[in-house]
Amino acid sequence: MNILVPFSWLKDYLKTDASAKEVTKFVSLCGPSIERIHEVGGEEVFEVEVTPNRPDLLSVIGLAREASAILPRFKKEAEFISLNPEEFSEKGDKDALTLDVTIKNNKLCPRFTAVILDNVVIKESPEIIKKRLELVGTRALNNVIDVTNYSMFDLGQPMHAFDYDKITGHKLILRESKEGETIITLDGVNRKLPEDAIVMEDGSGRLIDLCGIMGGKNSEIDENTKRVLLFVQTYDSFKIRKTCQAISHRTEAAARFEKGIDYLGIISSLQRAVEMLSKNAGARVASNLIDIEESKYQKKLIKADFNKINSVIGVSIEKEEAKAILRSLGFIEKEPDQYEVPSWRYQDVEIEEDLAEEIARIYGYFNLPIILPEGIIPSGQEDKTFYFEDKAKDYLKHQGFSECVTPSATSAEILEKGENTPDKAIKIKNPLSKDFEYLRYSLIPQLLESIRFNKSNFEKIRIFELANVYEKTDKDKLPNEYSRLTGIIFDKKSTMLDLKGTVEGLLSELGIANYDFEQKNNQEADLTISKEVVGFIKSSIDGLMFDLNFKVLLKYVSTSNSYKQIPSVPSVVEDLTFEINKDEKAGPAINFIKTFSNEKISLSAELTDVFEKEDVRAITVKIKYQAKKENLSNDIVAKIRELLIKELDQKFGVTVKTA
Amino acid sequence: MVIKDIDDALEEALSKIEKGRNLEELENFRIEYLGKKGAVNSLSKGIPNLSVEDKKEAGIALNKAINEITTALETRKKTLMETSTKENSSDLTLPGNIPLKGSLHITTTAIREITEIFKKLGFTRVRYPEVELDYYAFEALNMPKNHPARDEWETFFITDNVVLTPHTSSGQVREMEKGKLPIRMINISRCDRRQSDVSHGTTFFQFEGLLIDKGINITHLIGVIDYFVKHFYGPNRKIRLRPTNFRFTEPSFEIDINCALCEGRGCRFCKEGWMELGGSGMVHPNVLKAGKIDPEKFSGFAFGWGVERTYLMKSGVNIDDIRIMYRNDLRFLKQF
Repeated sequence: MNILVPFSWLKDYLKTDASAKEVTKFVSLCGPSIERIHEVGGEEVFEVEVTPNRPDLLSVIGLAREASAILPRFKKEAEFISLNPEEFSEKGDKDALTLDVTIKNNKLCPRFTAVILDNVVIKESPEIIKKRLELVGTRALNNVIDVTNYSMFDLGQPMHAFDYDKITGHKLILRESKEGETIITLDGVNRKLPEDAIVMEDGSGRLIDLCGIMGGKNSEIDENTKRVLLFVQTYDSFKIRKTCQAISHRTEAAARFEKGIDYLGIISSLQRAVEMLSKNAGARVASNLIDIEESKYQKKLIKADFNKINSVIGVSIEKEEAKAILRSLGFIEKEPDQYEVPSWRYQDVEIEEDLAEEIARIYGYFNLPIILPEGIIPSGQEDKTFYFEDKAKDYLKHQGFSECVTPSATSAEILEKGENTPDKAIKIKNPLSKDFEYLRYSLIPQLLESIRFNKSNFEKIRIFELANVYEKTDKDKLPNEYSRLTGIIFDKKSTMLDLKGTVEGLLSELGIANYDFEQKNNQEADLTISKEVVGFIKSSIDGLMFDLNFKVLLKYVSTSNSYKQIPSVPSVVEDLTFEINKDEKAGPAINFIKTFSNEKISLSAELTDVFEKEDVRAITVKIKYQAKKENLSNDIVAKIRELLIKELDQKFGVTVKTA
Repeated sequence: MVIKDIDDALEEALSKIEKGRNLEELENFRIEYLGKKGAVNSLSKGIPNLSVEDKKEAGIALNKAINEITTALETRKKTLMETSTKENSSDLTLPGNIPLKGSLHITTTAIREITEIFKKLGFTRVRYPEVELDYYAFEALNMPKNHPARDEWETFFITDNVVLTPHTSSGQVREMEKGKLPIRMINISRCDRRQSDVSHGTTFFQFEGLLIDKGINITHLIGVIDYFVKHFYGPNRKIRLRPTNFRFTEPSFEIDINCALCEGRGCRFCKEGWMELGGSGMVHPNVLKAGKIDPEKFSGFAFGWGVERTYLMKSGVNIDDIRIMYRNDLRFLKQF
């Protein structure tokens, strides 16, 4: 969360000779990041990035504290000027105004403080207040409301002012809301509340405050207000945050309450606000100070083992220097090596490592040396998955494919265009838009979309993607997430056999040999390895595609190459042509020839020609007869050939034409 | 008879030679007809048995055959060579026939380069689920349910307990649960975040380094990151650490790198001479405990950065809208 802090305002709490640029540079190195200096009407305004663990920095005084600890490290003078509000006198006599307060559950509001003021005259705030409020990005309204807003930006303490006379019966009940209760907040919006929002109702039972977030319109300060209830408090941070999420509305006040308030700063903030109201609005204290605490503030002590701290940082910082740093940040040494955490850092600092961070950052990370760790390198082999993924990708790249990376989710429309059903896909509960709503369980729809998109610029398209897809399982368990490799060829010349060849080349590259293609219909064939279906190839109007389960493929990959001795004797090569009926598949016959080997002689077959006649196809295969050791005589070859022809006829019904 | 045979052989030879397709075939024809065991030679063996007149005629026919075959071979050879020269030389200033150019996605290339550098330091590459339990993505990283720190990661939910992981840090405790120490892990994986603008797409990649051993401190984090930066960006590049906050590291740092363009003077591409790289920090004891590691004995550091951003800063490629990386327009893909 970013806040704006005018340099001139900062100087209310920080006496320094540093320039705005120097403050920016040095503070950013050791503390919060000051991202920019805005120039507004001659004023320099810091834009500060405040991380969620540092609610104390959501205020001018918080930044001043940090700067006072950091700037001297860079030889700049810097002194923190603390807040010294006037203590006011309570009015407790019979004329004192009263407030009947009931808190249903103290945990909702650990500290409830309030005071009633009368004699109030509503008018504009003094110029400096108006100007400062504008510089930090908020509107000046009137002298009373402005004090509450000013305190929030100045001290980090949000507070609220009610018109005392609008509170029916001068009675307040602080409780949790019931589901469906409504309140019209100061901005005029009628809000329907969830259960367990923190609210206050007055004597008539109506809601007058959405606590910690925004006051109710019915109790707001207006130009006729004469008596003010000033109300300064802290709330259960989680409840504030939860309510903001439920009603989808978050205010500056809520942003501070949800991160935590300086418990010990509540009273001094109240006192300072009373001081400002008496000065700017003529207000007089007309009641006792109401201060209801759930429990007393417990000091937080942390042990500081400086040796341990140094071992976290990696250098030996002198104990005295480390102690001085802690002191400059408000940590107080209660006992030897026991430090009390300042109240404004209560939520953030828990353990010794937090102290190490405080010391190291002020010491300066830029002062730390560059050292490579020396320990042993872990043993163990890297998962071979990455090696084979790279191999597959490189192979496809060299076959002219471009790798795509598509988003993890897509729209119902794209799913359906790709013949996937949204019902089968995992749905995102809180999508950003309809374009990113369903997790893909196949890479095809998005790749098809890519083809359609690229068609207008390219005639030849080859794309692939290797990525995880997500399959539905039981609701609260993780989906079945596994990798698939999918590719599409779109051009006029490529055929299904080209696609099949690409896939076969890929399998060869991955060391997979025992695969089979089982044809399903004219457009499609399944790829199986050891009878397990691993994927398919398919022809469609949008292109020729292959889709493989890469996880299963990984079961069958191998890198081992076994060496086969090169034969010392020549082979005999001859052509063989056989005829097969047009509607029959020739593959099995060709494969059969390859298997017609024994230990002494092996056959290999290469398809060289396919010739379409009227109702048969003439398939020509170049057969190589290779013996291991002996020269093959024509007789032996002839014998094998005869046997082969006989088997081809018997098993596949093909007629062999002599070459 | 012999003379007729010679004439037949000549006719046959000439017809074959005329159709010869390449030099090898021509050579085969030459051997077939003019070689030691060739047709002409074997026919000539029949001449001594002829009458004197026939011998003379046969001798003439044989010579004719040899001459004509030889000439035909040469003529055909010349023709073949001329045609091939015509086809193959022509105009070399014309573009060559380049095979279709494929490409790897820029994230694949970036991931390979990043992995290589960390491998040199003994890191092992791993990958963890993209759709992950809320436990690993947040709770085990010291961020209980409803903690405001979760706001920093705009997360997609499938159920209350299953999310699309918004950061690779979800792999930290999974790695620790493997039970092996020391740990030098580089987890590179896909992440998704609920935001879309010119610097952020919904899907992107992150790489997460985790090193856990005995006696690890901040100087080691600086050492490893400095090593990466010098190898990835160049030997003259420097890093600096700035304080920040993550629930799962303590202390936490933002890592900046000095701007290559202005060398620290400040320009429109950097912030006062520095550019943000990403977050890092010393692993929080609660996270070590979640991973069943004793924080009294072991310590470590972690860093998690965007792959695309880290890589694009290197090449100085000015991509004005990062979402183009996932539109898969071939005009973009083919550039890499």
